[in-house]
Amino acid sequence: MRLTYFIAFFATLFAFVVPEFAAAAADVAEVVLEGAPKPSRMDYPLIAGISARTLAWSMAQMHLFLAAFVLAVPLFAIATEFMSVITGDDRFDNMAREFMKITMAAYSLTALVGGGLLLSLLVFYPHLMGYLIKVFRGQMLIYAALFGLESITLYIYFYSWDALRRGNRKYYHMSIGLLLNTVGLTLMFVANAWASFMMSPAGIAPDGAITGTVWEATRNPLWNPLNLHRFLANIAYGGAIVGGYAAYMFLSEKDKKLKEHYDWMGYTSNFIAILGFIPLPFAGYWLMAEIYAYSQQMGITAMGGILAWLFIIQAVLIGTIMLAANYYLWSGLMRTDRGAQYTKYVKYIAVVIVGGFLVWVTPHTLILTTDEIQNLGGTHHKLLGPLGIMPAKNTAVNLMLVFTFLSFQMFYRSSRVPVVSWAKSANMVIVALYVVGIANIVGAGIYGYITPTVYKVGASVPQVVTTLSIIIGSVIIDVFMLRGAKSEKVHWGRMTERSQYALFVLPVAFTWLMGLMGYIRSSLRTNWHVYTVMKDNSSEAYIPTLGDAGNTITGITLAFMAVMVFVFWLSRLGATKQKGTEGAV
Amino acid sequence: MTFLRVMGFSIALLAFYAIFSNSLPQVEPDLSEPVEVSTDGLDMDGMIVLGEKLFSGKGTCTLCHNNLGRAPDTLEMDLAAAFAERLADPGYQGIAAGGEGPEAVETYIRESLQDPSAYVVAGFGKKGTNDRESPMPIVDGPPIELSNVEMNAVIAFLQDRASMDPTVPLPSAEEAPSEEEPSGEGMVEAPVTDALAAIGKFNCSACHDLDGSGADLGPALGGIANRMNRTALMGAILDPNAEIAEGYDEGLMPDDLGEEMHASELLLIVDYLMALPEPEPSDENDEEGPATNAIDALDNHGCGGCHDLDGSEAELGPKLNGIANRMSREELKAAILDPNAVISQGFEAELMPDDFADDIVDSEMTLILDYLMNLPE
Repeated sequence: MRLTYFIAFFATLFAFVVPEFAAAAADVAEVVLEGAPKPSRMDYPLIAGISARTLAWSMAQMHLFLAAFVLAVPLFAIATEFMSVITGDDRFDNMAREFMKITMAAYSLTALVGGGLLLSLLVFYPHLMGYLIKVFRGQMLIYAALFGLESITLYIYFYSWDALRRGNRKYYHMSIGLLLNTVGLTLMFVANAWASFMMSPAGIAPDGAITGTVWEATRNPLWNPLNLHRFLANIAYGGAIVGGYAAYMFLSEKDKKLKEHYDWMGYTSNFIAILGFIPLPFAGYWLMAEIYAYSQQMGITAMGGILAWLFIIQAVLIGTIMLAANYYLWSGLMRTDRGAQYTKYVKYIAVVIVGGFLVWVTPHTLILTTDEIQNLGGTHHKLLGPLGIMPAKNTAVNLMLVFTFLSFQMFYRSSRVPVVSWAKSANMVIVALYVVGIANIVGAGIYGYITPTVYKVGASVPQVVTTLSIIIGSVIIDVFMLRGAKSEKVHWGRMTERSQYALFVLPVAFTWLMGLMGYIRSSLRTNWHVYTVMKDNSSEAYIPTLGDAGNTITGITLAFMAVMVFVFWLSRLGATKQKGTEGAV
Repeated sequence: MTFLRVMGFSIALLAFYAIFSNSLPQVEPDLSEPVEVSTDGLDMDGMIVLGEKLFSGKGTCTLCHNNLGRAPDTLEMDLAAAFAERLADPGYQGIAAGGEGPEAVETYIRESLQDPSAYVVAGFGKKGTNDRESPMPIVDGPPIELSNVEMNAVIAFLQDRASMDPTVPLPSAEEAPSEEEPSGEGMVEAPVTDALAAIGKFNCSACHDLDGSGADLGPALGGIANRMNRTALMGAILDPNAEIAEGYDEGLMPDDLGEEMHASELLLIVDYLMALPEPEPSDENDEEGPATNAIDALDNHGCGGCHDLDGSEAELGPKLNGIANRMSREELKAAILDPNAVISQGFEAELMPDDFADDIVDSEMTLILDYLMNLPE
């Protein structure tokens, strides 16, 4: 008992103290009047023909993939653990533990690749690293200390699972989980400060001389938008990876009980992935709006300049994710006997999702040759051109999200029959919420066409609010209406094999999408290490073509998949016993 | 088996994304070394042309100053009226406030470039600042970093657009940028001081008929002053694909002459060309006889205009030094007479004239082949 009090005390203490500690402990104002270094091309080491940028890029991206996974899984492990306490359903607890088992195997690989990234940066970009160390000073040491704390809490959280499983001890265990997530998120926020500083430097003079505190450099204009974007993306990403794992296990297992378990795990992971994904476009808009506010030039480089085509690839990836997630949900309707009555709506939802995808994939500002301009009859297509601008895309993405939520709601409803007397009225209110909401989203989209360009992004705010209102309003009504509802049996495991491939699409597409977003974020700095302060004078200081970037991202994604296969294999290896040693302890 | 199917599916999906990203239009990066070129000796016409180029190029002004509503559409608006209105606007409290005439406009534009928030046009301020703060970057700071001369060029361009005589000073040798490359590799070649040498340096006559050279990949330049003014000619040299003369192909003329040429060389070439008379009507009987030495033969047929010969660095066709190591005499002759039969890798078909069988007499062919087959690497 003493141990648990001890743990609870420190968990609470650290949960409140760690973020402030990381931000402020190194915050000693130390003016360095020397400007940022100006390395010439000769100052960049050339070693054995290695492409420094590709190496650092690959290492950084691989580290981000792994780190996103090992930071996200504890987040929803604790959420799932909490669900097990609320519902008393041990399946949640078992699943959370299984999530963590996978994370344990991935954790040391994350650290290994992180070390590789650090080494590649120190070897190939010594001037940049020297400058960043001067700017962030002691914060880098704190980062290392936090990493140690993360390791300790992670090990305690996982290995104390069974020791602190029941009664009050469960709350102590969850406190450790809270501490783990606090440290993990702080680590991410600190690393985000360095990445966002390179895009929107703060706390320094125009020539790079350090005039401000570490906190000023940390709290640069793009730090918080990036924090939110990565936080949500990590949740979606972690859910997608675990969903892929569950799908693989579902396909591999012959045992009916285990198949049911992995089907349920796949559904829950997909739910978590989409839960993280739904607010992601809004976080993306905030990030982009802040980029425009910080530097209009940087914003235009992204959206209307040489990176414009990138957002067409992004649209294809997100379209794939939406279609796959919805297809999986529609397939899930066969798990319940009442599910069939909802299938008639699937075709309409499919039309909206595909239509939204086609609008999103319509390009607008393109770099065209003279011949192409002549063939088009202008710089934009007469009919399709209007679909390429932000009001159309905002409308499309909001409708896609609303209808994806509807797919979820249909499955949820298919296993519950409301018994309250006012169910019919409540259903009418929900229908009205959808109809009015969709009309408002479309109306705000049309308004976006008649307002000046600078306000178009602002016009998306009512659309976002409407989408969230539909979702939150429906959930609230459902919660009250379905209280004490008659439950229908959910036949977990009654899923097609094909539906499991839809679950595989999510991690593959998410991983590639994260790689693409990393490429965009770095490319926005164009030929600057630290935007407007420290120029990149290396021979690779240019934006690679989409094809080259696509090939590199594909290569990194393949490598990551190989690592994850190894991690999954490791996590299963731990539970495998040699024949004849089953009884051994 | 499940593992293989899952991996195969995932790899196929990845391959689709990779192929899709490769199938989109590729924007090739500019890998050329950043070179600052001397503007010493540039006259006002040259400044206006340079300003126009900077406005849509390095200055990145057209990113926002266009018809999309991010900033006033400078190139479409009545600049003369707009300048007068802003100088008289009581809301403008800058250093040119209340002023009139081209000098005040120069001051106003310079202030706008260096301190964009000094006056923000209504509706174009940063969101939430009530038009007190401009989203425009300071153009002489990073990342744009226009030099003083470049800002003067932009001002001259805008004054010209407002039908004013530019008042900015012409660049002097002292304020012209240094000719050293910032990143350390090599040095910029010193400018030539003679018009013909400049024309030779940039191989103009390889494609354009100059004084009856007969080259026809680009329009003949004799009498060019009757077809365009000096400013337009400068623009055509610096941005050759902006407007293509009828009957000629886009993309043949190098579009980086603005970075390669010294301003003094541009002026020499333009002045020379503006003075070129219309060519005399050709007289069939007055043709020159065949060349009697290899250099003249190669020169008469413009070989060096497209092929690198002894380091001329022309690159429209393959380098000819050391050609004997790559093909036999017969193959070389066949390549001259029927140049499109076999195209070397990395080069385009249809660029080399295919009528040399009619134009090159046997004695010239022998001279050319003898010379080229003995040309060392």
